[in-house]
Amino acid sequence: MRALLRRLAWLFARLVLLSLLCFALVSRLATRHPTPTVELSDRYGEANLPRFINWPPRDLHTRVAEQLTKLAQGESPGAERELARLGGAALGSVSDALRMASPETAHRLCRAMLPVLTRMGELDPTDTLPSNQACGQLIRSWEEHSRDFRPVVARRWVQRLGEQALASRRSEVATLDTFALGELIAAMPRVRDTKTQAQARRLTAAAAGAAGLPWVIRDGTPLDTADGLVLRWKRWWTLHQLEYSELRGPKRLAAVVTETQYGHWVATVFTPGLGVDLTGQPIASSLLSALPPSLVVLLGGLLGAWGAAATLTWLRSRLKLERLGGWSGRIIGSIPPVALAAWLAPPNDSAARLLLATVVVGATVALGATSVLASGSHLALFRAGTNPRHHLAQDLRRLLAGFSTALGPDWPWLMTTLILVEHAFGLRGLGAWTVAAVARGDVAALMALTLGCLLTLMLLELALDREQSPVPGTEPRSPS
Amino acid sequence: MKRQALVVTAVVITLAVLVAEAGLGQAARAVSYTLLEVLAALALTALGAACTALATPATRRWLDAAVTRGLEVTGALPVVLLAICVYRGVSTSLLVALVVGSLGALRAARVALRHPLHTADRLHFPSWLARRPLWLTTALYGLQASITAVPAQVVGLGAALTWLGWAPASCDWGGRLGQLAERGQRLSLVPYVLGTVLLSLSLQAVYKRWLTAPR
Repeated sequence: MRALLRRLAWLFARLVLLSLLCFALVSRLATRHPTPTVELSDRYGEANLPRFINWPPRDLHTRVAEQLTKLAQGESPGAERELARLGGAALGSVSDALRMASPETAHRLCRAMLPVLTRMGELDPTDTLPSNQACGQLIRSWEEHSRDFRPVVARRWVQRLGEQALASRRSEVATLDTFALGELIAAMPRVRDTKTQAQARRLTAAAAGAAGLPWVIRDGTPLDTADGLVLRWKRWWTLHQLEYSELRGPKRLAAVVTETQYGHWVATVFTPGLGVDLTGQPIASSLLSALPPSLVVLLGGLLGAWGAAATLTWLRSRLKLERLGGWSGRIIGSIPPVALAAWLAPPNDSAARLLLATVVVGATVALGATSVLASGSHLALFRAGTNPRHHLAQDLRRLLAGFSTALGPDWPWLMTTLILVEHAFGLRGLGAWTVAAVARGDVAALMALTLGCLLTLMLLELALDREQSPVPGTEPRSPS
Repeated sequence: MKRQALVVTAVVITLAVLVAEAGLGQAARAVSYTLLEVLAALALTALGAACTALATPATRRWLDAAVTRGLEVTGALPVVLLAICVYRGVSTSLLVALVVGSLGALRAARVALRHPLHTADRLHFPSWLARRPLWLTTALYGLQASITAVPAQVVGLGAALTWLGWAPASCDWGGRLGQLAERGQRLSLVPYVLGTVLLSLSLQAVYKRWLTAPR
């Protein structure tokens, strides 16, 4: 039992280490799509974060201080835009800074906060307030509402809005602007029926108003699209919450690791459905829906290849045909699978397409399987002069060990063949899913695939309990 | 003799069809690029094996752990995805040689670490090699597992990257094969596939003839 626990702990440690290494590779894909759009602003946010270490973490306080410094130095439209984006969450810090700022800086600060006051409902959008009055309005608004800028109040008001969409409740939440974003997004329910859809519609509308994002659920939005939008909001918040909140104490220390691209990805692994991809679809469900055709092709190909290899080995040993399959095997093994996939015309019938794809995948594995079986060490099953039944369990295990030995190094090539075969035959499996994810630069989706492959290979290793020979020269010395 | 004549005839026919299909200049460029890629990948593979012979007993454990982790990472990613992850505007030929060579090097290093050659083992190699240092013998021994597969892997990866549109087409067989596959010109694939098979079989024959002694 202790050995098993130790082994599981070691597997977990390996999984963490390997996921780090894989992430270092896969996350490079995101930077190949440098043009951020509003639709993909979750990727934009992710790409702006450091990959593994965020030191020092930039929270709301840091960001506001940076913008204030810029405004103190002179005109800065960028800083004004950033303060307007940070919105109500930054209002307290801005009001504090206003008291100590020079008249020019105060003027720029107040001008920057005018859009926020408009969103809060303190100003009419059509009003053009002179800058000397803007500061007065800002101070008045803060004095009037500062007591409401508390998490407890935000939670209560958001809860009330979720229950019923009265105009008064909408304006209450709007007053808090971006300060309420965390509560709004936390309160968004997964959309399962019309009731949860209505609740999500009210909350997404309020969040969209504060954050300036277009992810709003409308009257005719289908349930699954609405659910995808809710998941997209949640993902967006995990990426951007640091911009709207302040870090204190241990949270600041933890943020060094958690507020990174890798930290965010790990957080999505523990969310329902493995989070969402960049199209707003839950990753787990889209991955599972792509799995069946790929599983048929992979397992069919592997089993077919191993069946053929076992038959060939048996024929060679029983009929003394040592040269059987030697040349033909080498020739088949030298043909790039991509050529095989491109050569065979995809039939119209989907079942025939699946069968043909299985044959191509099987052909690429057959040579490796034949060589492993022909080596004899893994195939006691066909030993002459022994009763196979006596050794069946042991031999099957050896056969499986041989299978995994051959499959291990060939796995990445096998997956490449799968991607190409599905691309060639128009199958909508894992290959097509991967191609689409690469096109989007969707790191979370590709990491889910990588994690799946890692887990599969590790569980296979654990199940087979493969004995690993120690590295020569590193055996512990016996006491002498 | 009969077999050699058959191989030479096949090579001549392949080259003739290749020239007819792509023109002399392009065919020459394709052949030279492909040969260079395959040789570079094989050199990297041999280097991986040679490193294990140079490692001290104290570093062998660390080397084994690093190689195992490397194999696990590359094992979790489809090769074509791995290639696109490390792609940074370098030429597709270089990328392909680098990726195939690195994977081969990891594999060869693993084999050489688990089943190391000893000084006495050099007797199994041809006489000219038996007197050479152990690392050179180990490097050539490391090629054994890859020699057949490397041409197909180099051409296949280049073709896959081109076909999926993930990297610009190179001048080699892989790039051309990918372009033809994309256009659906199935018959034109024949000389490239035949060339790959012949290259693979020739490399294997050379290895068997010059680098391993009959046991």
